[in-house]
Amino acid sequence: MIEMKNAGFTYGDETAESESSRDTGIVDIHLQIRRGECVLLCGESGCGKTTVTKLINGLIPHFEIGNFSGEVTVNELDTKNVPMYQLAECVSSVFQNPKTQFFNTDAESEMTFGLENQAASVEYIDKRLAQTIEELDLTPLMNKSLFQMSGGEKQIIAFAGAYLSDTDIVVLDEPSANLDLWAIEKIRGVMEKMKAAGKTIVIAEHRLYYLRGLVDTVYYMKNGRILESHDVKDFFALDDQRRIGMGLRKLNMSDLFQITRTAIQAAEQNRLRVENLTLTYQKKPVFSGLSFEIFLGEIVGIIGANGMGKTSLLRCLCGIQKPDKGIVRFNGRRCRTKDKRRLCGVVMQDVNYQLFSDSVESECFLGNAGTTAEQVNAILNEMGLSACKDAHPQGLSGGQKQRLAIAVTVLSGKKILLLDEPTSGLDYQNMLTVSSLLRRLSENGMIIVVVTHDIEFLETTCNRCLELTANEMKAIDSAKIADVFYQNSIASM
Amino acid sequence: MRLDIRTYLILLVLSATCASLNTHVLVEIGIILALSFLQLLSGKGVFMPRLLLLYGVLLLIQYQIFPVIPEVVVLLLSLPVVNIRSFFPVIMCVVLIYKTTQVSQVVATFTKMKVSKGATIAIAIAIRYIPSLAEEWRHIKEAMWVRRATVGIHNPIVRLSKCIECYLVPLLISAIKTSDELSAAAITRGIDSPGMPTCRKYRPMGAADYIVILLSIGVTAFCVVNEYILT
Repeated sequence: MIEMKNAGFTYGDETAESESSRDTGIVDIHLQIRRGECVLLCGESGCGKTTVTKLINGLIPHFEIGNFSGEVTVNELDTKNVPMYQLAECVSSVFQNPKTQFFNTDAESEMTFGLENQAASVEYIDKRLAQTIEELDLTPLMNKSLFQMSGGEKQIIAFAGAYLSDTDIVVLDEPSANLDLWAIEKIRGVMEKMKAAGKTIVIAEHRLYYLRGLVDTVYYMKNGRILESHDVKDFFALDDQRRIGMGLRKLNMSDLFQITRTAIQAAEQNRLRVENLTLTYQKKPVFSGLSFEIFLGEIVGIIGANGMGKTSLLRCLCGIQKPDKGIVRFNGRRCRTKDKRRLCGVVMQDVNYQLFSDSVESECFLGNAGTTAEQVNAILNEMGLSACKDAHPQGLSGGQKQRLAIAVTVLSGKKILLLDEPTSGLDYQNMLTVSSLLRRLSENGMIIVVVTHDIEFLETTCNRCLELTANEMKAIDSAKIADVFYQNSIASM
Repeated sequence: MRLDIRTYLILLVLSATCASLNTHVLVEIGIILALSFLQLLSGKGVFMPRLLLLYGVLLLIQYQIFPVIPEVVVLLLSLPVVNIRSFFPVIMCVVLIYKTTQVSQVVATFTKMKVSKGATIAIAIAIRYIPSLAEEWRHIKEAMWVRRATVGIHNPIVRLSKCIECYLVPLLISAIKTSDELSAAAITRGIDSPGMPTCRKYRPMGAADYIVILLSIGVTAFCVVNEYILT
């Protein structure tokens, strides 16, 4: 079904003068995937997982610029000699970013887009559409504009498009990277149905626990090569030491998750206190009467079901959004909007919107009048960004951009750091880097609030975990976080 | 009631023609009211009362306030007020098209009309990108607000140029990234197929389309006659 012989690919223009502008994607890949097999490609960021998926869906060699070698056949078609539209008839793809993979503005047209391009009959498309809506339980989403949908809902529509196209092969490139647990449960359900229908599925993924019981074979990649292949039973039985050595995320959701850091208590003046915070959006209540406290030097994780208003809560705390009611106090003093703005730094889920300058160094000076070169050098050193201080911020990797945004916040002397899904799409090593960095900052007396769906990150980073519900912030017993996550995902479904 | 994209495009061209002529204000009010009625008939959320209110405010400024304020102020304000007011039929048409047209309909209709594939895809992506652009603009605005990016810059011109730079850099980077990822997603779904795709959302023009086109041609003809023959 899928066969790769000695396949290799180097990104970049062959005529480029500088060798450093070229990146070796994969080397010497030999792979055979049987019809109906579900294969997982795992490994650290940059190991070549995505490149392998691009070999299958034809983006390499037809779209990506670079040097391709070897042979790849998909359904007995040589991908090098077959046009993309012909490959699209047997391979569907779902990508990492739900925001940038839809071409239409309504869910129905988006789902049928592939079949329309194949010039399938209207009757057949309508029949497949009705089947897909029923089998994947999509009726509630069908009347929504794609722009009104959450990231998870958009990703479900992308999966539905692949399901509706009914191709033999489905390629999934980190499909859960930006998703919450509710959406992950949903996409797993779709994958199960695809597998039951005999589809061949190839998944490149960091988050692994949700694939237990679904994949048949696991390939572990490093530095562009397939280092190991595992039978699924052996792979999910790997012990923690070996898994961590391989740089992989947790393999089992039901492992006992427990926050290992201890809760902090502080004097009255050293805390952020939120009293009776209430917010409505378009005349509908988002949350009401929220009251909670966070102490100096503490990292608090905020979890909650989809659409509960976690991001809105962060926006209220930093002053971007004005709540309908409620008071925020810092060190006992009531904070007005300008105080919140002065006190809080925010790292958004998409950090690209926060970087404005033409070099990492100048980014550190922007908006931080009075900052000295020594301070900038010290913070860049601490964040591991010294080597790229002349680089353009938008050219950095996701993890580096995030660290730069944190560095800017620290330089501006802000006391509170708010992070929205800081580990979406990060591999194990990068997740640990963010975690240790936040712990260092908290030890220096910063208050850190993290909205996250990443249970593994919560476990390694936070002192406490709070669950946001419609009318209260519940303190969560550390041993029960996994249960709460699971209940939230069920409640959202 | 939903009209065909071709009807909307004809309506847009004709309303731009009327706006470019020195149309009598009563005729212009009539056009605005007719377009508002069409918006109301086109479904929930298409009619924007605030837009109509803005038009009313502009009329009020031009005909009630300008006669009683100093001429210098009138000179300063008349250019934006009068131009925006006379351009309003076009704005109303754009709102109508934007709120009622799906990308798939544009692709289907243009494909049936044998418009080149490149042009169809470019127009479809432009329509699809407008809401993304608004969303990205909001994110950047919020990030700049929290960051206080222009604090410490006292020269207003430097401050303005820094502000523009701060908006444009992430916006352009995001546009490049989005276009790259969108292209990759579209070609893996066979958008480059040389054959005629299925136009599932294609609907032939109906009686309502012909009535609207005839009425709008009539109004435009009246404006042209009024401009070039009667005066």
